[in-house]
Amino acid sequence: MKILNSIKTRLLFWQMLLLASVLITLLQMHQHVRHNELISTTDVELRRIQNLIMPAIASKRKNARASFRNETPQRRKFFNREMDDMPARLNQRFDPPKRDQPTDPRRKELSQIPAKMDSDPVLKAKEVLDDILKKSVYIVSWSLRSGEEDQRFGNVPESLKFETYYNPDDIQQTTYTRNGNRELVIKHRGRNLIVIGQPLTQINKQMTEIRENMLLVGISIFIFALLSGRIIIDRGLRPVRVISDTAREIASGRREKRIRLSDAPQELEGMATTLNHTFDSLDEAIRRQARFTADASHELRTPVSIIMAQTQTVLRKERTIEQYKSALSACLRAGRRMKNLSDSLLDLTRMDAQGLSLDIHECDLGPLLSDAAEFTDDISDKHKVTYIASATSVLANVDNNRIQQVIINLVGNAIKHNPEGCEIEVSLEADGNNALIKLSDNGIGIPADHLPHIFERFYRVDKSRSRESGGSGLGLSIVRNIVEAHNGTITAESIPGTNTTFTVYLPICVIKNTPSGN
Amino acid sequence: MRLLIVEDETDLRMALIMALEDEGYAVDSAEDGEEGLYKAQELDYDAIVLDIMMPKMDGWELLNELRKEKKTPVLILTARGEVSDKIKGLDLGSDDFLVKPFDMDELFARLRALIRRSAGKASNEISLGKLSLNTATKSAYLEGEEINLTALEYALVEYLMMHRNCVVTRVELYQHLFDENDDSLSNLLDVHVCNVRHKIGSGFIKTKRGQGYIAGADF
Repeated sequence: MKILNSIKTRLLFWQMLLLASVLITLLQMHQHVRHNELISTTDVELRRIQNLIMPAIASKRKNARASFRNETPQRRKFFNREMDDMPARLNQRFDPPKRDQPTDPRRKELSQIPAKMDSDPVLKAKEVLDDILKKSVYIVSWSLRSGEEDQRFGNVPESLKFETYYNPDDIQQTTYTRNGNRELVIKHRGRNLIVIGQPLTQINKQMTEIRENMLLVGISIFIFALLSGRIIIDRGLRPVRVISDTAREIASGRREKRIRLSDAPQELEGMATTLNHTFDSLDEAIRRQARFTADASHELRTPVSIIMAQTQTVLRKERTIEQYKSALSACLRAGRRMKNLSDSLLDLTRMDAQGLSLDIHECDLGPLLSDAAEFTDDISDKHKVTYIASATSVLANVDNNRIQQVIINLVGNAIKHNPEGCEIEVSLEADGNNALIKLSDNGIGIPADHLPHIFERFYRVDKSRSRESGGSGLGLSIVRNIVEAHNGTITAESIPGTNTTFTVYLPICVIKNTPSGN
Repeated sequence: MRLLIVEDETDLRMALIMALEDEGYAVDSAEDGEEGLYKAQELDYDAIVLDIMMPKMDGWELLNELRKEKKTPVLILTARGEVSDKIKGLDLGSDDFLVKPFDMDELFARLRALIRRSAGKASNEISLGKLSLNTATKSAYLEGEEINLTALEYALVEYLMMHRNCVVTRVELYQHLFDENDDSLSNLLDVHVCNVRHKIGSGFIKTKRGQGYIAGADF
């Protein structure tokens, strides 16, 4: 969980860093671009005003603007013509046309002005002036010769002085920013010095507004990105969280839990499947171990209870010698059972823990099996064990003792489970690359429903029969372990009431075509 | 009191028979489920000690079959100690459950409790008039003085006291006081009845002619 959180924090940190740098760059760029753009827009505006106003200021005739309505139609016509001509004349004067740039936007705009004014030039001119006034534009004109102010228009700042603007150089027209105002300074025909200005406060205000908006938008983008990033990270990490949660639950004892992922990336799903398989096999191993331990303790209970019951009973009061003897021999039998069981358990546990360590030698299976058969035949006079030798000698790389243990266990099983007089046959032959050992008896057989389980630990076909004869319930399991450690296989077939056959295949190394069994 | 032990482990069965006989019970035994069921159905035992894993018929099946006709108290004595086994056993109709290996004294105590409960008694003390019995120590007291009874005499007194309100037939007494190996000579019971009357008082065991005996308080 801690790891998960630290991954998340790190991802979020990097996301924030990235986001912040992107935002800052954007803001800076935008501010820069906006500022320059606004200044140049202002300049264009000032020039437009200049173009509109210049003739009116420059011409003495324009001073009579107030009495314009009283003009004769002839003069009005003349005025109109003047106004119509203004743009072209101004162009020629302040901004000589460049032949290679015929589509200059500024000129295009200027050329549109007359069109705006052609309906009622007088009204239009007034509209234009009102429009200019609204934009808090101010215009001041001085006489260049005397330095006296001869015209003033709009809200002119107090500090405006002729000296400030006068320069002896032959600069006809400049623009600059002074005291927060953007101003266009024109030397007109060597007679007038005209300043057309517009305070930048408006622009500054706009700029601040824009900046505030930008900041707001920036912050909201930041927050949105942060939240969405968080959600995306959460979503991305959810499968990991599910995996770790499940693992923790399994660790806390709920072993049946499995990872359930919905719409996770393919890699994680693959990982979950692998983990689930691991959990399954671990669970199965634990279960098997638990069952094994339970079975083992269960097997131990009966002999222990016999010892306890016998001793407690006998010790309650004085008994005859015969009774003591019988109790002691019952205890001895129980003790032997426990010894068998613990030996088998130890054997199996060792096989499980370090694999079966085999002492492998090349040896002839014939004599090995005949010895084992003879040994088991001696144990019981009530059963008959015969050995049928192979026509050829069969050599295999085996652990003699272990293979003999297999035969003794299998024959012992047959003796234990079958009634007296049963015949047991052990045979050996070579079958391709395998030695084929068959062990068959004509006894009671094994019911088909038990057959698949007989190699399982503590599995009993008859719940008590084998226990009474001292079996641990582990014999066949040990046999299979030994055979499989030799890379062999063991199978069992049976017809209940007729016979049982165990077939063991062991890989062999050499077949010599010499008769054996001597 | 007559018990049936159904247990396939010979050594354990022999020990149980010996110990329970020492305790004054009449004990029958069976070494597999089929035999056990047959005996349990034939006779009204005071209690049955039942193993689970047995050849021919396991304890579960025996219990299932037995419960179809008899209410005999059953104590399951098994090496299968898982909770699920205990639940299964009790649900199938057993009255108690003891896991091997066990302590003999615990088995005795549980059997006493089982028999007491089936007779409808809540404690180990039974009294009738001046006579009182302690079923745990198997001793009898007359006016506070312990009287010396043999195991069989005690069993006779206890059985009559436990069934004090009804007439107990001779057959019933034979069934509960003697096991299958005893000769059912009819005067054997008379001898014991006579001895008990002599030790406690002639009014304790009243003879109902043609029916049997009943315990009485006037002695």
